[in-house]
Amino acid sequence: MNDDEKLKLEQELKKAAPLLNRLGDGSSPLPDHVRARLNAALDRKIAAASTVVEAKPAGNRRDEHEREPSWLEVWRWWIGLVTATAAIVLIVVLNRPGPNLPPVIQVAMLDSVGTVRGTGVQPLELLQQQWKAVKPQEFDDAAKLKRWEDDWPTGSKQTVVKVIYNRDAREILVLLQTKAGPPITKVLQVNDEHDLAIILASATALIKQSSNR
Amino acid sequence: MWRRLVWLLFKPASQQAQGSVEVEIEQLRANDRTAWNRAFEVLFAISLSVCCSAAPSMNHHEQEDVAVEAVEEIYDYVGKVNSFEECKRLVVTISKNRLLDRFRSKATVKHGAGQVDSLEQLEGFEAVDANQRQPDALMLAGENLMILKRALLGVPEQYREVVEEIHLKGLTQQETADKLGLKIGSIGVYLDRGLKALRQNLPPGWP
Repeated sequence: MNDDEKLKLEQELKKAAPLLNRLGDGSSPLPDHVRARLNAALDRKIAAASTVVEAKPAGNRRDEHEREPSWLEVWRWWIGLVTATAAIVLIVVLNRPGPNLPPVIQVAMLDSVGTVRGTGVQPLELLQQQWKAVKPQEFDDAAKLKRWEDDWPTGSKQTVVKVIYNRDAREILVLLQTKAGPPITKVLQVNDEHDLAIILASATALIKQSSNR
Repeated sequence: MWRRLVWLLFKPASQQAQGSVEVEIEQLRANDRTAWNRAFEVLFAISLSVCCSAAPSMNHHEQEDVAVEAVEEIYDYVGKVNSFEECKRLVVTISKNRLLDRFRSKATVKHGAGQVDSLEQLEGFEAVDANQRQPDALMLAGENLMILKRALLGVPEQYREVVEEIHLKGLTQQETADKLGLKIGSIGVYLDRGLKALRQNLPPGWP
């Protein structure tokens, strides 16, 4: 080591002297009391870290099959089943046919001759008795009846029935217009007007039968 | 370069612990006590260097407290940093922040609540060389301090004592001879041998 190097080293030592002295006189680069403090702090931190690891939920360590299932996992199948059932029920309910409302009945009679016939039967009264809630229309003109016959109510959710007693043709025409399906036409012959009440009763049965389809 | 190569190949085993201390971050994460003790030495030296340069008028015990607290806090960061080098830089920042906290609380007590944002605003803070304020410079200063300390510890005891008494404690050769019970003629020889041994223990090109 030459003189320059020696001088430089001595200068460095003098510059570092205050701090070097703070690092202690012992054989260790660190004062003993500082090392003791730092090691104690390290012990505390390691212990604290170990406690945190042990306190973590056991579910992190256990095999997935062994861990206790949450309430959601237990009930999820039931919740799914109930939801699916509710959906099916809702679909069925929304698509089912509406309530079986009674048909709307309209009654008319065509009698171009009038009381001149002289059968003694009062067909209007019989019609009124058969369908008490309905007032029969009386026509003496086939064209007017035709117009009435073609006039069907629109937007009705119920079955509409037109019963036409054509006294001239001796027949009862039963026209059914259901909300779904093609119109139905039934003809009942009235050979003897004295049997009109029976025939009207069968017409009623026919209407009932056709509306329940 | 040749001198460095020779030094690397033939340096005595006792000198292998001296020089720049290499600590692996994985060892610290694994709570390796030996690694942590080596790390403490370097980190404390750096932190103390920061405290002494930034707050030279602060009480020595308080400076030591700040340095110890700063090093203790490093444990919480080993999982987040990539290398020990980052730990060294971090301890500089933490040390400054802790100094700031201490000064701030004192300023609050003395002057009432106020805004203190930097060490420069505080009483007791002395302007230091601009380079010294840079984190890397502070870190290097602390590391060099530890390298020097380790190198000194590697010097044979009878020579080291003379070097310490004269250059670190400022005694004269006569005072040193009286204190250590040596002849005055031996002091010069011991000092020379001590400095040579110290130079050999230091890495080539140091500081």
